[in-house]
Amino acid sequence: MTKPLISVKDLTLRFKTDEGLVTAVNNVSFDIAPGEVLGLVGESGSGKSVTAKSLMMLNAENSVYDEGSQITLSVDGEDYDVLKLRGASEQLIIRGGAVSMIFQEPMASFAPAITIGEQMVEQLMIHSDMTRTQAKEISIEMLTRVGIPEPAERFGQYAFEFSGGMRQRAMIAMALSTKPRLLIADEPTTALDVTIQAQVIDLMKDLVDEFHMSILFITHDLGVIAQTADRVAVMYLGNVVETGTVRQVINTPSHPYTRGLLNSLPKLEDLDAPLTPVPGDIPSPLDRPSGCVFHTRCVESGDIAERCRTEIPVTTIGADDHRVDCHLANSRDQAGDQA
Amino acid sequence: MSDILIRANNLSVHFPLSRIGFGERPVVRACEGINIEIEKGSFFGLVGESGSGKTTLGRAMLKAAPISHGEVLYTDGEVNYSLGDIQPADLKDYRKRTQLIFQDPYAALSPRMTVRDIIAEPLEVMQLTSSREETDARVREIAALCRLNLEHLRRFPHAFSGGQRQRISIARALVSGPKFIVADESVAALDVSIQADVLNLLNKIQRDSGITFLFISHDLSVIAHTCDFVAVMYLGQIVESAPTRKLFSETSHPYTKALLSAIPSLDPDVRGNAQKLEGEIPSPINPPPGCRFNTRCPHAQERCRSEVPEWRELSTGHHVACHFAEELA
Amino acid sequence: MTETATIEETDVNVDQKRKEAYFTASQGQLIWTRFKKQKAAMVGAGILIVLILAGFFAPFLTPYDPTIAGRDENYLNGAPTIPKFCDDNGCSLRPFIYTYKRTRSIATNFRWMTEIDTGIDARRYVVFFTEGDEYSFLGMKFKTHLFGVDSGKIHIFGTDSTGKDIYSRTLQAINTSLAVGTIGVLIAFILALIIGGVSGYYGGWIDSVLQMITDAVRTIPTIPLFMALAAFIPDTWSSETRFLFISIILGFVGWPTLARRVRTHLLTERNQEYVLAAQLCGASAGHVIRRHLLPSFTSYIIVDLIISFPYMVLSETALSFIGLGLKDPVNSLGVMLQNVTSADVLLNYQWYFIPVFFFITLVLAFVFVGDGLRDAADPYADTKK
Repeated sequence: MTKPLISVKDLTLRFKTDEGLVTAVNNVSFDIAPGEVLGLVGESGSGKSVTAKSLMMLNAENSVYDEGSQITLSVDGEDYDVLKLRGASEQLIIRGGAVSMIFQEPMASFAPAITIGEQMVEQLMIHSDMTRTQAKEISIEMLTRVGIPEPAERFGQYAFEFSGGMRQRAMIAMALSTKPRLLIADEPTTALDVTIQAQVIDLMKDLVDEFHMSILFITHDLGVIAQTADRVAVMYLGNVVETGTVRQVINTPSHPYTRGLLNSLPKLEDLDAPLTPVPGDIPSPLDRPSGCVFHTRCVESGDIAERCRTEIPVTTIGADDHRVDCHLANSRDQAGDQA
Repeated sequence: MSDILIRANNLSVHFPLSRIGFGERPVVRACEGINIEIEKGSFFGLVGESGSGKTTLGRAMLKAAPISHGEVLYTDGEVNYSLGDIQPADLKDYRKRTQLIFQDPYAALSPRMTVRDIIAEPLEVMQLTSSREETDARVREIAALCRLNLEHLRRFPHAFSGGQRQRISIARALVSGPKFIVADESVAALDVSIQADVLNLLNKIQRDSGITFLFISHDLSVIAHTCDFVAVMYLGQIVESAPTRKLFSETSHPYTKALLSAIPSLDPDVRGNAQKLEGEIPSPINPPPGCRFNTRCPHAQERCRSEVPEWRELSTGHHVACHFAEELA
Repeated sequence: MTETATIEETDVNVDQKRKEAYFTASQGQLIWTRFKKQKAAMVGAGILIVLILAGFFAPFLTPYDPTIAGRDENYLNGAPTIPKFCDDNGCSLRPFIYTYKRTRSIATNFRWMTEIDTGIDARRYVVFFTEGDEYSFLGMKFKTHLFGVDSGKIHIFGTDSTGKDIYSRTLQAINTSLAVGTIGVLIAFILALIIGGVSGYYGGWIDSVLQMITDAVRTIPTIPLFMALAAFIPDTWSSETRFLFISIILGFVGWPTLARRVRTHLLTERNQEYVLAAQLCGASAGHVIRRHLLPSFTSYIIVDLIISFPYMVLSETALSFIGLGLKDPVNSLGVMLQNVTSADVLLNYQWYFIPVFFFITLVLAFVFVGDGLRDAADPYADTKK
């Protein structure tokens, strides 16, 4: 069993606000193996972006990590305790070095007054001791690799001269130019048209194979996850409620939230099926439910509703490391053990 | 042939831009030669990507975008209007019969008005009620339909989530008793689990009240589940339109096919089947000559680059604009 | 068991009430709540209120008439007379000051000298709510002042070269400056509303033309303008008329900045989706302006007005200081500073500068309150996901 590239254990993050301490991420644990695509699925308020930013220590100043939280990055035989890295030089490894990030709004991620090429070269020169000429060569190579036509010309252009899809490709090129081990993609295709989205997803999958890198793919779109991810973690209100391989989570979901999410999606295969929403609204993070974080909207709790309201569920580990945090799954598992 | 509530004949909407230097003034051809017929009481879907002109078309049908060529005709059994040259008095009446639901639930509601006032505003502007009690009664009635209770009416928009705000928007659109509602990307900004809720609400309203809906979206699966009829737009033109089932079972236009296959399937074992479209969406200022889709179409021929395809009927209710629709079907 | 249940309920109730209060809070209430959380702004607001009240009630709070009529002939350029409780002759419950006398004789080469008599009989006790110079306040005449001395006069900030009490003048100056500021801001605001409003609402070529006019007015250099006007003002005008004239002129010169703000707010608001929603219902321009545009920029405009205030006050001070603004007996900080430029004053009569601290405090208070309001007034601060 290979050592995971990134191992997140019991990550708990709170923000200091005027209204008090707000929990954004609660006891989140997951591993990403080298070369694996982990999909992080969740809706608004699920904490997926905050989790991703924690991997690069990009959260705001008012963020407070719990004592027991740990993020370990294992690269080239070295282990780095990410949360303890201080100072720009130490953090270089997680910011563009072994870990790179691409964002949802590519227009907002490129400086508007500097050419794309200049930004790519700057990134390369910070992380290595190349000369400017070498960096330019590599950058143009990357632009070609991501499928941007006339890369030499595009190198000298500004962000506004690129279309949405091309900007996203340029962003991928920039993120990959330092050959990171882990690419964090935060909703990279949400702002793109569906035909462009298909192109970008294909590109990312090709690059995973070519560069042997891992991707932490964050999105709310289960269809995109089904097409790209090897494993999936489902988040709700700061907790990971289910983890497993993509087939396990999508074909045989264990958690009521995952089931609810899948049921509420319109499916082209069955145009007659009714759309069943998950009832209620996502609670405000100031108002975290007691016990199981999903109990206020769960329709399956039935007899054990009281338990769901008061007790935090223990993680049930099923076949092939399919994990779920649910009392129902717990009791099924125990019944299964006894049977 | 059942009643057509609103139809567009050869409709074009052009937006002139400011001139750069000398020469011709560039024009954004947002919609070009649109032919569309919306049946009374139907839930009509309009799907397209960015630059397709779907929002502009929706607004043109409400006379919220200028009509450059062609006509939009509205007939609801009581009145007949041609939007191109409608008189101000008639336009005011038209506004009572049509409404718009916006995309962004956060920008569509004034933060300074209570929910009750927001929903009541159309009634007050159009002077449809004569007393405050009457207004209040009507507001309560519509709010109940949208699952908003009395407590909610006293609150301000900042107290609500995205899904709830969208329901307030819907209530505001319904309160004046319109016959035609344009829902412009009304669920795009919502979380998936809430989306279904709002879609169900819209469908229910449509079934119970017989209001005609024009539902604009970029999400083909959402349209597939809610609409009776679908029109697919690309770069300002409708490329294919048909009853929903037919569109999915007898897809003819290459763009529709590409759109369908580009939707990521929920089945992890169905991978790599997407028919990939190369290239980017061209700019609506300088659309490609001939068939606008020819720059990206995998089946493009010489004819496609020079000749604009005709809008023709393949079978009942199924229209397409492609030279080779029959061969490719 | 019931005890804990009720306590739980009350907790939940309080929580619910708080939440409900938040849900039903109008924009104004939300802004006020956010404003209260900013300490600097609250302190500024407190100080501002105190100063405004001090200026408003100046005739009551000060012992003497601030004009030449209330001067103390015996105490020219006199140092501040701070009341004491104790001295070498013993302590007393009532605060007192010493007797001052101006004498001249051969011994002093016929120059006026001030003598201080510190004898116990020469004490002048401070009295409160005493009768003094008559003043008119809100149309009625009063004689009572907050404090005074049983004989002679008290000058807690000292006197100037003609014997006028600086403390009395300071409070009156605050009042005058605030009055000038108010009139100036009011006029600027009315002009800005009309011009900026038309510009922002209609857009197009009207906007372009009005913007050109606005920019032109903004570039007018104020010093030469005021010099010209100062020359133009006939001597026959009373100081009150002069005061009004200066205020009006400040308003006429200050409107461009405000107009630009009004126009910007209107342009933003006009493009909001909820305005389009109203228009799609057939709302008239009047309805849109009344129901949407005006309420929305009220909060912004209040902020802009409060921030304009200190600029008006400082402009007036500068003008009066160089002699182009107000003149005696109308009193303002600028007028009070007209005579400070001589070396004599700088070296010997430093108490002339005491009013400056009051004005720094006043201007800073305005700025803090304005900044606090501006930070609190963003209506979308709470609502974006």
